[in-house]
Amino acid sequence: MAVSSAPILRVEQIYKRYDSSAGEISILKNINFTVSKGEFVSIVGPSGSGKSTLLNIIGTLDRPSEGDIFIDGVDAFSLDDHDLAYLRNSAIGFIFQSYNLINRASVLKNIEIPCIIAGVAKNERLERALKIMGLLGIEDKGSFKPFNLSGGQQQRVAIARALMNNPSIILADEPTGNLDTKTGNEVFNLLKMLSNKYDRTVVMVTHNPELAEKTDRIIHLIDGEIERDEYINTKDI
Amino acid sequence: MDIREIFILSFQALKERKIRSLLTIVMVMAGTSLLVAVNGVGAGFTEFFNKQFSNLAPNILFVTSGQEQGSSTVGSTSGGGGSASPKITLNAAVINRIESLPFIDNVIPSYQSQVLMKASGEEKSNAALSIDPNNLFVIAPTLELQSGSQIKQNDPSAIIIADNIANPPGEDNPFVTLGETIELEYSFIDDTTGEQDTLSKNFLVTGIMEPTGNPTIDGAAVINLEAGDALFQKAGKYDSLFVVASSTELVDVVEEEIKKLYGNDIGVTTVKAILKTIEQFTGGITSFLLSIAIISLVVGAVGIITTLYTSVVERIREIGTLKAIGAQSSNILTMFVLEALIIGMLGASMGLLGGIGGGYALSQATPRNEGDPPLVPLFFISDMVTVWLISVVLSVIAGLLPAWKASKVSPIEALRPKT
Repeated sequence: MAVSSAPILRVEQIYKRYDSSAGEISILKNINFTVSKGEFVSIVGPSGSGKSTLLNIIGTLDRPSEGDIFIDGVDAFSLDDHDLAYLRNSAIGFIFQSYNLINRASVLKNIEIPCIIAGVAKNERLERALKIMGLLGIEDKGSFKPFNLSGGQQQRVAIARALMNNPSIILADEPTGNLDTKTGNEVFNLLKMLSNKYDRTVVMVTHNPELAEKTDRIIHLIDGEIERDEYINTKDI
Repeated sequence: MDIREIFILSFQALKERKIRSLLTIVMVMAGTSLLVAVNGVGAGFTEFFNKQFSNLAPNILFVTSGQEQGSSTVGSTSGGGGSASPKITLNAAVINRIESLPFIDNVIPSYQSQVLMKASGEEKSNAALSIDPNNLFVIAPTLELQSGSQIKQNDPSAIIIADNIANPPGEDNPFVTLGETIELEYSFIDDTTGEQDTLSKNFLVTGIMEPTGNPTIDGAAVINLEAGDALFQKAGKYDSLFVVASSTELVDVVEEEIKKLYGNDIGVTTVKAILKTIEQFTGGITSFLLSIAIISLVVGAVGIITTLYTSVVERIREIGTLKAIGAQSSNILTMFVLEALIIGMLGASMGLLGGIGGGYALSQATPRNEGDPPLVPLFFISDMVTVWLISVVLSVIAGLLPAWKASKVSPIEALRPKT
């Protein structure tokens, strides 16, 4: 196996429990794994297996009941809300199933937002945005409003937004879930390209076993536990 | 995060919900307009009365026979029963007694009555003031007579009339001119028969008085005491006395002295007291209207709260997304506060313009006597700036609650797929 560099992501003994009227519900139980730079990892499992909860915890949107997440060596949950927001902005790129673009703002503005939050100068962020848009084949869509684009194009915009601050890790939650098979494949191939060609680290939650098969590694979750962690496509890093 | 970029996002958010934003702006505008208009009209009122009464000699005290009767111009009341009858008769003896008090320069007696004036084939009901015409200048120091006018102090057939009567506003032809004859008809109830009777007398117009701003003078026809006594059958029982204090500062002392002599049996009014009463009256009305305006401003603020709360709920995914990609809670707070600020600034600015227009409309609608100068609302820059700031600050305060709520949105809740 060629993946050997220092881990970008370390997930250590994560537990997530909820209190409900029916008593305590365990969503995640003792989750441990690491992800190295350039890896494309898919997390699969049936509905209710805890995939999305795990991704949200990795993305620091949710706090675990127990355990730690290290992103680039930083103990995420030792940070306060302010620093956590900063970590999300600088080290994590999110891609959502329903794109979550701001419809009143132009495509370009949507893509620039992470940079705007980070306080990157206008010229610099424009330059970055144009470069990424070119990479994703949406260079001519900058002045459009998101609702004027197709689903596939909108997801490309969302991917572009996720790349803007050059994050350590890209988290994608069912990124092809709202797209037809062909468009879904195109979007997936873009992520694959980012991983292969630009050495991006991607963690993707998916229902789609065919897509998962094309990633480097599949983590199977069942009832909140890792049932299997298999490396399927090794690549040289 | 660049405040300009947040501002653009806020502004776009308002534009995205045009109708709702516009209605909220109108709510703020309504409150601001009302506040500006009421303020302007209130200031106009005060200015109007100050002007009116600045022409009254401040060292004059008006003395009437008892407070119950006040300064009414009812003609013959002597001998009649009932609660309105005066307790004191203002005759030569009373005048002498008042004159003997310290700090009094002069006591000017007068009769006042409503008469029917007849000239050039027209009739008009008007107030007649019977007084030594030379004393007109004591009561109204700013009085000026039109050229050609003469004061004939001892001529019981001479009459001096106000310009308002001679040249009625809004009419092309004068009612009467200098040198013409005018008939005054006085009607009364005969005490013995109980029947209505009239007395008439012809007068020669020897003078016309320019408007002074003093309502007693500006609406009056002035005849001398002898003529008044005869026409109104007063027999030396005066309706009111103008007591001239030696100086304005001594008015209160003189009032006290007169009250000492006659207590509540005599009515004493000073210019200062009149001004105070009017100020209290206009102040009361203004503060009543101001409280309504402030309530409407608060209603506008509640409108902002409602609008922004709805916006927070509608944009919960946007808030969640922004937080997921690293926006600080303070960025979200700022975005919504800026929306409130924009609404407040637009509403307040439009409100200032609306308020000026509304102020003029309000003052036009204020009832006034024909010929009176129109009430002009007064708008002071400092007042306008204050109102603008109040509106904007209130809007921002109103926006804080929904903005705070938005900033506390948990991204995980916000981004949860809708079921």
